[in-house]
Amino acid sequence: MKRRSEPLKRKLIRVILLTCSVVLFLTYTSYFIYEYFTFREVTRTQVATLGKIVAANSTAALAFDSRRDANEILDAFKAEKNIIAASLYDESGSVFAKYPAGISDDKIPRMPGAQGYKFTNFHLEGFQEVVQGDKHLGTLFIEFDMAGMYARLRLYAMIAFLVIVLSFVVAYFLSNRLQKTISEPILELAQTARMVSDHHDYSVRADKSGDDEIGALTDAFNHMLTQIEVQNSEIRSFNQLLEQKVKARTIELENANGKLEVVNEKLVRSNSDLEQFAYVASHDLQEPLRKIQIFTEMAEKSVTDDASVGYFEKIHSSARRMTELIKSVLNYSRLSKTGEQFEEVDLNMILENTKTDFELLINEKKAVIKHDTLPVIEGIPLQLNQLFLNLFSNSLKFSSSEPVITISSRILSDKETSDYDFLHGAKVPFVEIIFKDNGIGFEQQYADQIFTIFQRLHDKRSYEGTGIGLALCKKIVENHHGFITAKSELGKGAAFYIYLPA
Amino acid sequence: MREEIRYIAPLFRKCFIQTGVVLVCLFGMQSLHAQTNVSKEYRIKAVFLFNFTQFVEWPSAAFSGPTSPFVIGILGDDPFGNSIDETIQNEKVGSHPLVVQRYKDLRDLKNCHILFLNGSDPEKVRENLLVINHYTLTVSDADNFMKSGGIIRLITENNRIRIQVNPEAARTAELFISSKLLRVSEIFDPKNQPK
Repeated sequence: MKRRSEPLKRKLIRVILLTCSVVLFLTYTSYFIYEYFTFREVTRTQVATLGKIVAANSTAALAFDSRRDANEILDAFKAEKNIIAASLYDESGSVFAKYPAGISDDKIPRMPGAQGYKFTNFHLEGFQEVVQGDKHLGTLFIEFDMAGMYARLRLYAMIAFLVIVLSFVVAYFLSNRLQKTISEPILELAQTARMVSDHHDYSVRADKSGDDEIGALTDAFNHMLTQIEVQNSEIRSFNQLLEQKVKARTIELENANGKLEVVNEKLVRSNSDLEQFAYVASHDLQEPLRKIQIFTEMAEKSVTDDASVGYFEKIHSSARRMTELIKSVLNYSRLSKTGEQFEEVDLNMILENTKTDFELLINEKKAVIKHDTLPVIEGIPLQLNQLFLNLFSNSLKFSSSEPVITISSRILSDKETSDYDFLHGAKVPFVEIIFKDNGIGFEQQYADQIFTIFQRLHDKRSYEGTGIGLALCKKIVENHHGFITAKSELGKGAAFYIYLPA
Repeated sequence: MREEIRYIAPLFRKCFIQTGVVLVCLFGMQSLHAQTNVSKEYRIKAVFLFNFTQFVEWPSAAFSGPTSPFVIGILGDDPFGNSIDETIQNEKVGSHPLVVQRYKDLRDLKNCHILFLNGSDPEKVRENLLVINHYTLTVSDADNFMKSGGIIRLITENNRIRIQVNPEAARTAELFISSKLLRVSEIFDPKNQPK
């Protein structure tokens, strides 16, 4: 790990020095091994040659029992100081002559051995038979001291070691100088890269030092920097453009919002103006209408012919109808400006009241009312009463014969509450109340239309009504922060789903 | 390493330069009695006679054939007993088997390669030598043997046996004496002899 973080310069020097010393070491080692074995072999050959020569010369001395001559011949070994002992044995194997003359007998073998030479710790020793013609005359023993030779090898080793050390030092200084040609361009490049990353300045460029790989690297690096710079400026200008666009859009939106607010304000004002007008108009219209009714009744009594009675009857019924209309409009506009307080309302009570109100009609139409136990909720009692009245009236009105009205309720689970889009993920629990009838129904495509004021799907003649009832229902449910929807199919009855906060 | 090679040359030189030829010979620790003395001395002389076959070259003309015997002759009384026979038993000179022949006197003399002349009468020795053929190495321990023209004389001195060689006489007999033998011998030069 440490080596990886080592500077490039040191790595290069290390590689060079390692290579250098390994090469030198291997060279010297192989030289030594070669030298050692060559040396031994040459020495053995030379000693063997020497032995043969001396043996050949000592034949006559052995044959004619001339110890003096034998000693003289052996004395020639003086010329080779590494021969430390030699002896000559006669035919019977007893010592005939020794070298050096004064050497003690235990330094030489008592008996001659087999022909041949062998190395025994730092010595080379062996026997050479003395033969004249084919006549065996005796044996020569030679002991050669290798210590001198080994000493010289040691000296060589020391010199080699010194040379390696010296080469190491020279290689260090040389590589220290020469590695710069490689490391310096890389270090410069690294310096530039560091500058770029530290200061995020992409305008700097590395200096190219040559056309080698490092030069190519430098070129690539510079090219990369140029590209980064270009892309950076592109991104910057793109960002500016984007910002401008966002700003423009924001201004546009603000303008539109402003306009909308103004329009909204106007709408709210005109709406309330309209409601005010409706209230005032309907309220004020009641007075002249009552007068019309009173005087019509008075005139009716003084008229005798049948035709006139018929006309008065028609006036009377029209006036009654108008009164109802005005009452409805008044109710609707009253709902709009609600200031009433919420309180606990038992829906079962409301249902009972409603049933009482419609008692006559229910009996007349032979209607059947089925219902669960309804919950108690927070609400405005009068409005909820109106809601139930309108829905009952609606169901009774749009039925052909023997209507069946089913009212059920349940509290929605949290999951259902969050699943229904129209509840806008409300946090409070909701109550679902379903009013179901077996009336004429309507096509599902009109499910939204029916809640609009004065919107009637059926003509006035078949079914009477003001066209305000369901609009009132919607208004009431909305006043209670709830939601109303309808499902139906033509001729198969209708179901009204009311969702109110419990 | 060159040094190691170099030592061989001087050794050679030294070996060949040495021509002082004196044989020092000690016969063990035994004291020599008169009776055994003679037989011991001649036993060694018998070995010497055999060893001469190794250090002297005879021309091929000295043999009648490649397997004809090499003859060691003894003229006069035999001082070796059977020691000479024991020494040469089963030995050969090249391809020639060794045989020993004993001649009572000159009349019995036949062709032989080594002839040991036993006798101390100088006149008789001289006479004997006159009739001896070419190719015969004459050996004796007689005092005047060299002066009479003998080739090798064995001199017994302080229990040592020295060899005296007359190379001139050997050359006359067409025999070649090895330098090795000359090394261990004393050279007899008739011109340098005191009259």
